[in-house]
Amino acid sequence: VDKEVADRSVLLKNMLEDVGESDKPIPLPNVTGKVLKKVITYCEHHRNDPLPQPDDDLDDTKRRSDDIDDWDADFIKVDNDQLFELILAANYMDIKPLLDLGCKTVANMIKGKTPEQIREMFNIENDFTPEEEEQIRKENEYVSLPLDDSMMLGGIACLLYYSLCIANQSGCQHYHRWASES
Amino acid sequence: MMTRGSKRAPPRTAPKPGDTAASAKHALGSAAQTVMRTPELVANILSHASKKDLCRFALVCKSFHPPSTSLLWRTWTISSDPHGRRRLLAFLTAGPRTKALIRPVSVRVQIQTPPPNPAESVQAPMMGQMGPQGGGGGVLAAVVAVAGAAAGVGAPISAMAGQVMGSFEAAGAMGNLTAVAEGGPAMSPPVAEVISEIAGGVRSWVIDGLPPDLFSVWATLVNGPNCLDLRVNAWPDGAQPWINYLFARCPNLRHLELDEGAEGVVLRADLPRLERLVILGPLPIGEALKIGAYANLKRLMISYVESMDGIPALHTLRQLEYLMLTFVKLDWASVIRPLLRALGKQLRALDLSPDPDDRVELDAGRVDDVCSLCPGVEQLALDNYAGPRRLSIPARLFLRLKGLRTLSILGGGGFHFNQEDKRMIEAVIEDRNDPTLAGASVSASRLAKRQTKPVRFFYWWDSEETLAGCAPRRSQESAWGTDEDWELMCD
Repeated sequence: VDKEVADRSVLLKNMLEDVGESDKPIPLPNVTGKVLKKVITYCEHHRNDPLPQPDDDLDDTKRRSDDIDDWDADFIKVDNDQLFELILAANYMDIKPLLDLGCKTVANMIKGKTPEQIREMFNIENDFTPEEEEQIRKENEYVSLPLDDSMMLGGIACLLYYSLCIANQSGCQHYHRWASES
Repeated sequence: MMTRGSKRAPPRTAPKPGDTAASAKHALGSAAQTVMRTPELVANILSHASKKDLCRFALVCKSFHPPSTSLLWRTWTISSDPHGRRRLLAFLTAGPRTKALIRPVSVRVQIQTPPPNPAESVQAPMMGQMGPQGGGGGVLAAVVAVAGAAAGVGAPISAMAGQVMGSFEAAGAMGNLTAVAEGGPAMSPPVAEVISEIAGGVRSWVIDGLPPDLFSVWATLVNGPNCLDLRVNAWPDGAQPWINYLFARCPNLRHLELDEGAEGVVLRADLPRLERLVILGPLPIGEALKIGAYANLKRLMISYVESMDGIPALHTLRQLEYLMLTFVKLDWASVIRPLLRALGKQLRALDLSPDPDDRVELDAGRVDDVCSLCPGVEQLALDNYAGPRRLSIPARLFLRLKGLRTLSILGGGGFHFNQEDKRMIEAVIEDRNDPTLAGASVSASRLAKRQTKPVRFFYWWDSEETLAGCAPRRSQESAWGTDEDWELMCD
């Protein structure tokens, strides 16, 4: 593997810097051959990408799960076992973009699932008492409560306007502008 | 060989279609469980989840509740609208275990300013709801008073802040809940309570509206060294001393934005980490001179610059890539051209739009300066000019900017195209024709070199015409705020 490719892994980069140029193999005891092959494919494809900066982004809108590019989406179409092994390998080898890709994919997997479905999926025991569960439900009610009448009316008006825009084929541009200003 | 009584493995049953739980149970093995038992990996997965998914995840088990709750509250818009009040109530009524997890890092505040009379705005609505008033005592009131003295603030704001904090401390939880549920100016004490509880961990503050009493409380409670991003889009009259007091305590800012006039504001002389500075309003010369010392500045937008004294200080900004000097009254030959000579090669975005009242004409010489001194510019705005009469001349020059993908030359008045201009610009945008080759047809090599990023062209905002498939821009303000149109302004 080229040094440039190996350098995508912070673990390998640091090891290579410590050890210096050498033909000796570097042991990676926590990564199977099959997964390592997949990791190398990823690193080769992304060999020229800028190295990730420390993640102190304060903007949550950039933490999305639907911004996976086509190559990455195709790359991560693996069975579930391999997906989680890739996450563990990326975490161990410190390859942040691959780790993020795996985590985004898992976030998409749990999207819309009920707590019970998530528990079954990951074989997790529910250790809440019914009272604790009720308390958490109440605390988070603000996220999913129905809108007030005024907010609801605004939403309906927005939808109506959007429908009219489409009906008139005047394009969505006006809607987008209106929506962004409101 | 199978013997009688031996245990046979049960046959694997294929999951039925749509039985997601069953199929997942079969699919996910030990690696999945290891991932879900590693807190930092769970936190990473959840950081990509929506708020509704986080609510569901918080209910899965006790170990998933903390990361889900922390992420749910990582950003918070404290506002006086119905949704904002609902969220405030959720915070105020949360159990102690949950409250301990609520540590927002990014907070936007949008509290409507109450009527100008402080007696009405702060005290009256709370009468009968919050117990004894006007004590003005309490630890936080004392803190605000001391800070007020340090900031050199006169009695009104400091006293009001003291009253708010005193009222808040006297109010008790029930009073605060009532105040939030009802909305209006009585919300100041509960909002002060929230700010006092969360301010220590907040790294990004956006202030879209705060009444005078709360503004001083907020300015006092901000954890200065922890604050990286500070955007003050509105502030009450007479609040500059509080802003200055705040600036003095924020040495690590990366992003600073002041959307109102900066008169009376004193910038720090040293902001070594500052990358983005936006000041929309007249900036005193002494303050403009300080900008030259912000060596890490990448994006700078200042408006209404009327003096040229501070501009040479900008020549030293070696990291600057985005420069917007809008509504400026600066002489091109003696100020702008030397500035472009010093910084032009490093710029990726440039806005040099004058005040439209000055009726300056966009002549070929200015366009030539921009195109030759700033060859790497990808986004260019030369709005508010009164001319030129023949746009085809600068249009040819714009061709020299090989990386150009956004061009705006919104006219400031009387700026119209004729059909020849229009054809020329369309050729520039679509890259179908090379005007420098006098109508030569497009060659394969030329097509191969075609820009991968399309130029989007905006023009006179009264026009309904599209140009080369690009929609006209109606106003500078509405379109400039998006990531695509002008990266300097992206939020």
